[in-house]
Amino acid sequence: MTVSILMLFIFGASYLHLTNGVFDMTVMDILKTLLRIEPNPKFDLVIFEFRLPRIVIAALVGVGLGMAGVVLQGITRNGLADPGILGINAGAGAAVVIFMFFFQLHLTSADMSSWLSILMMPIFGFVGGAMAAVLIYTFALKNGHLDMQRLILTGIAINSGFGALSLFLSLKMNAQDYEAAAVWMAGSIYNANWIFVVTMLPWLILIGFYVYRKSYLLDYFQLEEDSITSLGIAVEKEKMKLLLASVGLVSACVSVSGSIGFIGLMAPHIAKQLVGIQHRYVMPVSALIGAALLIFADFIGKTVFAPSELAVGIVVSIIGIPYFLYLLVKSKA
Amino acid sequence: MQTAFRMENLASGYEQVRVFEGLNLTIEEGKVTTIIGPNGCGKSTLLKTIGRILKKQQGTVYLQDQNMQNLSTKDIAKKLAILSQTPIAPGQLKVEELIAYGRYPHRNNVNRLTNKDEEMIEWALNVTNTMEYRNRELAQLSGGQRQRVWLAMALAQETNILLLDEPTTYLDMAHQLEVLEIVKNLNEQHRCTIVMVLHDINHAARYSDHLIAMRQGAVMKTGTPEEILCADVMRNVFNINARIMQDPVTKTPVCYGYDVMKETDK
Repeated sequence: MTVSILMLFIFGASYLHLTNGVFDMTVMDILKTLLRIEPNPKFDLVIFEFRLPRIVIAALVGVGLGMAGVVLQGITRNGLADPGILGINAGAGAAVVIFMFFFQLHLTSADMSSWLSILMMPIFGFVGGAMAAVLIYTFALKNGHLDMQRLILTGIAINSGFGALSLFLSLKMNAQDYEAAAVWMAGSIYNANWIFVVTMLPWLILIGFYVYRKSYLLDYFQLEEDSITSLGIAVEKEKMKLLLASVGLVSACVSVSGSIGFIGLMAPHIAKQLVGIQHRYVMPVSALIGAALLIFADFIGKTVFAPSELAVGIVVSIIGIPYFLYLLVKSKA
Repeated sequence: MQTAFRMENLASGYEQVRVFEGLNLTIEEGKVTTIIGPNGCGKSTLLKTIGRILKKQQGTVYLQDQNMQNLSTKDIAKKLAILSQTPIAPGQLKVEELIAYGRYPHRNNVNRLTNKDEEMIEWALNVTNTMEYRNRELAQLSGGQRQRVWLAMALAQETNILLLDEPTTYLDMAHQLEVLEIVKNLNEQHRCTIVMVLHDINHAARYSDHLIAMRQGAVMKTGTPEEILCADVMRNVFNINARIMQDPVTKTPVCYGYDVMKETDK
């Protein structure tokens, strides 16, 4: 039930996204193009090269962040945890900026010759994200036991540290690279193409499947650590594995879309409102909500100030900040 | 007599603080053993350490003659369940769902309960008298009801050994006895080995076969309730001058009044 409504919402947002833009098309045009009836090279270009990959990327990034959010909120037992707040975004982001800085990669002109370097980006992102995670983990570790309060505090510190590093490096770039890096850091997907889809999809499927299979554990993580240990769950080990998995998801997302915050915070909350607290339902629903939110936000970013575009990360923040504050106020009460 | 636990030269504590060390102690199987002592004497620490919730710092613990270090945490969970002092769970969780969590160590398919699982959950609901609110959410329960539900979760774990850390905290007098009666029934009917920490020495005396009296991280004396509830031991352990008699109904020793020891008494 919930799932079908969400699917409808995703289709609706995709439809809006497909038909609207600098170049408006009708439903018939799109259907004809998709079904290969009277193919028109102009429509082909707009749909297959510009809009479709962008929608697919938005959906994939939304799925990744939605799932990572569920995992992080689960293992930290903190409803305000979000990959952005924990500094994993920033770590992956800094690594990608370093990569751009040293390899002079022009994101805007991705052609076949840079396939290899583009394929390298998620790996760099992962290394950066994992580095941030290891740093956060070591600082938050107290007597071989992960302290969740400290985890969040260190996350915030690591976040601004890596953010500063990214900014510093991007300021040293030449003008063209700087522009690409700045747009990318704001969290944007307007330069999406199928190569990005190919680079992130395997990571997403692999880790997504793993996390979904482990989602039942997050049910137990709602209890205290003493209780979970008593049930025979190797708490520290499982927490570590899940943390790494969410780092993987976030890094794959960040490497193609830059840092998009708040999706990982909002999607799990909305999902829990919809389907309760059993994580094997929360996980897929949160993934779908993430996808729907991001496609919709990208549609808004694309059309509201047309012909100029607003980075999707900024749109999400504009929606997300009030929601975050609302959650804070609510959790105090 | 087989032993449930045997501790050799055991040391434990938190961070840099050593709560106890060099502890040698055995706990018999099939009995109710209660650890008593003043605040901060290390009784909860001891319980948590043998329940492997707290990492020991030194020494060895044998669980039914097997070194606990060589057992996986899941295997331990099939042998012993430990209920911590004030456990927390999300309020929206249903009673039955929480009790089903107790089946974790026995489950192979994580998404479906087997007949055996269902059976054990029913049994746990029955034993703890929680059947009537099995479908309610935890947030709707009173403190006494919630405590029994937690006990049911520990029972669903299907273990021979049950460790309880002050299971009667925050309960009123009637509910305290209710919980202890369940514990007694488990021991008598189902041959469950019980090790618990209690604050109330009268409850401890009435419901236990053995008492362990601790003070400042050291075991002062172990023995039957009659051996522990006597003026001498009470003075050494709790710093009180206790007035003790036998309860004519339960035939167990009771402390019916006491005074804090003055400097001059020492």
